[in-house]
Amino acid sequence: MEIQFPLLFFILFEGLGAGCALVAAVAEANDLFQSSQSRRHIVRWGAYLALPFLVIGLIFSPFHLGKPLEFWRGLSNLNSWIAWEGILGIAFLLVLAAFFAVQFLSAKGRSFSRSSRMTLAVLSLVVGLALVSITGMAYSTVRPIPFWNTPLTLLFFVVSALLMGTISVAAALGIMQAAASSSEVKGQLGQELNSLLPPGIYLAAGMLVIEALRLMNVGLVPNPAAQESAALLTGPYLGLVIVRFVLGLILPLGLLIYAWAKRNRGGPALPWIVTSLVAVLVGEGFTRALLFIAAIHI
Amino acid sequence: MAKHYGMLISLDSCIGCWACTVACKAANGLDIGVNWNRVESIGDPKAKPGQDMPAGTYPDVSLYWLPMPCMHCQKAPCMNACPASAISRREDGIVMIDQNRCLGCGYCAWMCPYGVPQFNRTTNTMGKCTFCASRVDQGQQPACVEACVYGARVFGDLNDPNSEISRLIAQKKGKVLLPEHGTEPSVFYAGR
Repeated sequence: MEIQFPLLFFILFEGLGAGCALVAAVAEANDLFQSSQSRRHIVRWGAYLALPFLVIGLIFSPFHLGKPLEFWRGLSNLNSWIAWEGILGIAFLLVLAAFFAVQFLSAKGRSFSRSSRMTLAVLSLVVGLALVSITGMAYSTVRPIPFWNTPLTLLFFVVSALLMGTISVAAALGIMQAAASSSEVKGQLGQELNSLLPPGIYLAAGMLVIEALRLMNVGLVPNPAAQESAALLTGPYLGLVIVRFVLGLILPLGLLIYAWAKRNRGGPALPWIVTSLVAVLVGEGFTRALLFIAAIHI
Repeated sequence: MAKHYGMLISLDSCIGCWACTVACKAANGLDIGVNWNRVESIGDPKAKPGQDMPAGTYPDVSLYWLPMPCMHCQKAPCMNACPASAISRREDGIVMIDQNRCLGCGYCAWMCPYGVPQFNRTTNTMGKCTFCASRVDQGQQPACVEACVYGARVFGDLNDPNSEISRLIAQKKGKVLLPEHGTEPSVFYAGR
């Protein structure tokens, strides 16, 4: 299949936006349930990053349609995963706009009730998770494309979003820490950044396993289309696959582990975190390109 | 009982002349590159698309042609998949794409096990074989059926046990393609 670039960028930025929102939502819920260690900067920067990323993704989405201006018609069939993706995308946009507004106004000194913050956190978590899951279902339920037709595809979309979101928020905190003038703020940002590194490492390792399983799975399916997908991935596009694994997973995993070790010794790790972010984003872009390239229809 | 239109294609009669394809394009005014009734050449797996290469070694060679209209499935996956509700099935079983509702997202093409729906760059919508519904409504046969030189195609009411198609499906033991997908196609094949 040809790479459908509007779709590629839609699912990339949708995942990025959802991931940042999920990280922020979990941190906010954690803060509200146990206030021993505040993660207010994770919440703030997760919310700040999530909205623009989702907006970018939603802007790309209609351009894969033959009639982009009539995209609203695509919300009518509730039996279709694509319709639900559209409905939840719009709902998530509204939730994230509210989340963004609350965080922005909180930074200006306005306070919000615990129940309203909890409601927004739960909504962001539920709608965000539902959105990436439904995007995953839209692909994993396409039976005639064996490369997609596996639960691993759904898992890929969810873990990819969490991975991209975690490292993006970590990088943002690192940059804010480097720019902060107050030692108290630097300290708080540093603590919150440190709390994101282990989950980032686990997610990168998990993603490595999922991607390896996806490749093995398509090679094992006894179907000519699956065999053709496998032949593409191990033949003419092997280079892309290698770049995806090495640049997009193994390198960031190593960099995150190194960054975590450095921070445990009290040293700076921002360059490694930012580099791992860039590598992950390039890798996630490549893997989404491979999603289309190796999609052989039966 | 309501009619349920279907088609039987005899693969031992099809000579791969593509007259059905040409008739379909002419009847439906299709653009270059849009093909609602493709004919697959089934022979050597290494053959390129459009190449008629027999499988096997002379004298044990094998080559036949597989015309692929829309299967007008009773459980059409394209219908559920379409986010714009543009795909519907008529009472007589003919599955249609409403060109005014279709967004051209292409999801129906992904979901169809037979690769039937195709994107039309002129209308920016998806299109597919309609069993020539407008001709059928006037009591005529689909264009591909009329064009077939060797009478490899039979069209009629599957719900009528006395119809020619029903008798031939029973006689020739007509089978559907990819039954494991559970789509219950209305197009049957016999002869291979």
